[in-house]
Amino acid sequence: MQFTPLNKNGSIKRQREATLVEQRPLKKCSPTPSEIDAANDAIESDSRHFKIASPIRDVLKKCSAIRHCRSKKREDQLRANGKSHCESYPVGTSFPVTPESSPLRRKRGSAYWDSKRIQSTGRLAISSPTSTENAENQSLSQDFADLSLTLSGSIGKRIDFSNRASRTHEIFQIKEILANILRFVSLDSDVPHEKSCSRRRPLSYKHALLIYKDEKKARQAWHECTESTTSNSELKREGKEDSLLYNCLFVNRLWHSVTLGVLLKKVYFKHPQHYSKFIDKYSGDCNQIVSRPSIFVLHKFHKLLQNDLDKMATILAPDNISWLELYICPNVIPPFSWISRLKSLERLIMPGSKVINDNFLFEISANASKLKILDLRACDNITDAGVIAIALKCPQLQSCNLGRHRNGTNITSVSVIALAEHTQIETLGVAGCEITDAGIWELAQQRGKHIKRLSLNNCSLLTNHSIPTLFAFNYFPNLSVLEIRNLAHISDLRHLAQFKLWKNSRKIPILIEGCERITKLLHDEEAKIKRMRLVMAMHDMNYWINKVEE
Amino acid sequence: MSQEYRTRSRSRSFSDQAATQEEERPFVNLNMNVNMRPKNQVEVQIGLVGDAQVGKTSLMVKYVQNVFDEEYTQTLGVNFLKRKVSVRSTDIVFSLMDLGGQREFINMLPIASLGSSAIIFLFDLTRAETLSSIKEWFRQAHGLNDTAIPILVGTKYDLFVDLDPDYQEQMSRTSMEYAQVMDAPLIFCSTAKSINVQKIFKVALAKIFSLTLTIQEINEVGDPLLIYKTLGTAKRDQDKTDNIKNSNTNVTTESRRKSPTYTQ
Repeated sequence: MQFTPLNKNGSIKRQREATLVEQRPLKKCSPTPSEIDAANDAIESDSRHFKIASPIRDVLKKCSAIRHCRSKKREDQLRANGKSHCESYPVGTSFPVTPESSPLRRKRGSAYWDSKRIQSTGRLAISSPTSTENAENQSLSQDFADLSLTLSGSIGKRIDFSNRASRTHEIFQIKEILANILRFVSLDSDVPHEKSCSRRRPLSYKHALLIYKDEKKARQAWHECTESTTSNSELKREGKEDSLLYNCLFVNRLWHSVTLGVLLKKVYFKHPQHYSKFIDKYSGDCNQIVSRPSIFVLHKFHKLLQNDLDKMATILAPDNISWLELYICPNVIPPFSWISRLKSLERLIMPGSKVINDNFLFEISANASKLKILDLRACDNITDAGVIAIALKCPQLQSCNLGRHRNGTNITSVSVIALAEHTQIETLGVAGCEITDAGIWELAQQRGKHIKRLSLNNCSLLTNHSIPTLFAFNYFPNLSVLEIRNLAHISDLRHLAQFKLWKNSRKIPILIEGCERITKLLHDEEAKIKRMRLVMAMHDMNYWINKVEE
Repeated sequence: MSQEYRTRSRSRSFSDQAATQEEERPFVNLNMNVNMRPKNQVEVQIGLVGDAQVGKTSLMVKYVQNVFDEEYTQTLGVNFLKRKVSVRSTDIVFSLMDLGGQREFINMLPIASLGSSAIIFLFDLTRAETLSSIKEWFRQAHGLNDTAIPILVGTKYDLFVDLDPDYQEQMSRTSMEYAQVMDAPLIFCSTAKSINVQKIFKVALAKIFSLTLTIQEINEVGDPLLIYKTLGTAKRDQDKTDNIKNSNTNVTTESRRKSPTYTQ
């Protein structure tokens, strides 16, 4: 299959369309702000280029004139076939006047397909009854030949492709097919999200050395850690990822409308400018709901105010939202009118919010019974009450992160027990919370088999009676990530080391993140166990070779 | 001599390997005392080389599957079999690489010798010329891997005992000299009558890990010789520890675990 012609034509058309379409569609997923200027410059240069190459305009006029003549010819042919309804079909005249910038529109679209169908039926009708079958076969095969994705010369002639720019295949003129294609493209585009790191950063160079066991790697890791968080290369890469669908907006009107529909299914913003542009464009006219998106994501809008977000409620309907993310938007909560309508919500991600509190969780939990993933890191105002409400109303909850650095006293074992008893919890983050051994024991007994990730960093109340003892009885057989940094009262890591070795021997990856002290203890225990096993192995071998057999 | 050339293809050999690997220990529920005890696994690779038709494949098959087949099957390339011996809390896994004795397979010698912790040199007790070609085998294999323990094994002892006593004495003396020069334990064995087969591998393991073996030596000419105490240790005394650490024997460990029982 060759899609290359599309690309070529697409880019040419885009150049033209970009200058002619008066109101440019909103640039939603454009690159970083710094690059917007660059893009504007590019557009200017495009228009300059267009002025220089203005003879193209004349060529296009000629082309459309030629096509008009040909369509007349076809009309005549149809008339010659003697079918009355062909006459009633106004082939060349009734098409809406399209800008000459997109001459191919004249022939394409549903109207054209109607004409094709009529043509084929006409052919059928005039053929004599004896040869009906043949004729049918022939016409069918001819019709389907048009659908082949490669553009052969003969087809080009048949469909009257007179001008190079208009040789986009018809398959890209059918709305449904185009929508499908673009939907697949949209699967590729990345919704902005927090980059998941494979390992947490080391706390010191010594710690890095313990983790990586290799000076070079350790130095590199520690270096990365001390450097600033974001590098320029990352920013640039981000900008380019999203341009796929954005470019499709400028192919032609059909593409524009279809692409816009697809884009509005996933509404996400990384830059305040884009957000305010979007608001300006849609909130101005007639206050109608533009879309029912399934994803609504705002990424790092530190200064966004509640008023601005509430405007969104007049544009988007929340009924289909399954993924609602306000990542580090400290001053806002979702619009009030949305809260009771978030029935299909599965993923609620609001880390770093200063304003959400238990009341918000009460409201949300009342309706969002399908909630699976809840991320409330650093939401300091959330307490046990809110978590219990969620636990009781969202039985499908799988992942819950309540980690925090402040107000750790607000979350206690009560939350953990509620989640363990009433939900399908698999991933639990309670870093920095005041949970006790009892809470962990309850979790182990209720959900131990299913727990996959557990983050207990800075839980200062935990002692050797929880994690170390539980691992001795293998209560968490499927655990793959365990974070136990800065747990001052934990010192007995023998069973944890044993668990790690057991997982390693079965080639199941396991990650245990500890602070410097705990990592060192773990290493020592591992070495001790290995040594002991080696001695035992030698002992056993000695026994075997001297055993009398045969 | 009627020889049946049956193709023992490498694919067959490797399917055998796969079969043994699949014997992973299931996740068993045992009581706590047992499940916390670690299960160690010691892997030892041993290469078998020597002239054609001395009985390398026979020895390997006999040791791994305890089967002896009179029929001759020519080894094409390298055969590979694994045997796992479970001793208390340790699994000893012998990976045996058996190289075809024909000269054309000499280019595959690295497969059998590199990575092996011990190389068994086999000769036919009833054919003196197979013993003298041990020189060449040893030179080649030792050149490729001089850390591997050499072990000199005379096969077909059951046929050897019926031969002329003078020949027996001469053969025994010569092989002892060879063993001295190679610094290799010397063992006479019979695959058909199961004489000294197990002991070859016990000696190999003892030498690899420098363990003390207490099995009685057999020194009398005419008996199935088993001489190992003073051999195969001289050079390795200084790098004994290296041998254990680096000589491609991995001690991996595995412990049995139980899944928790739930009580509401």
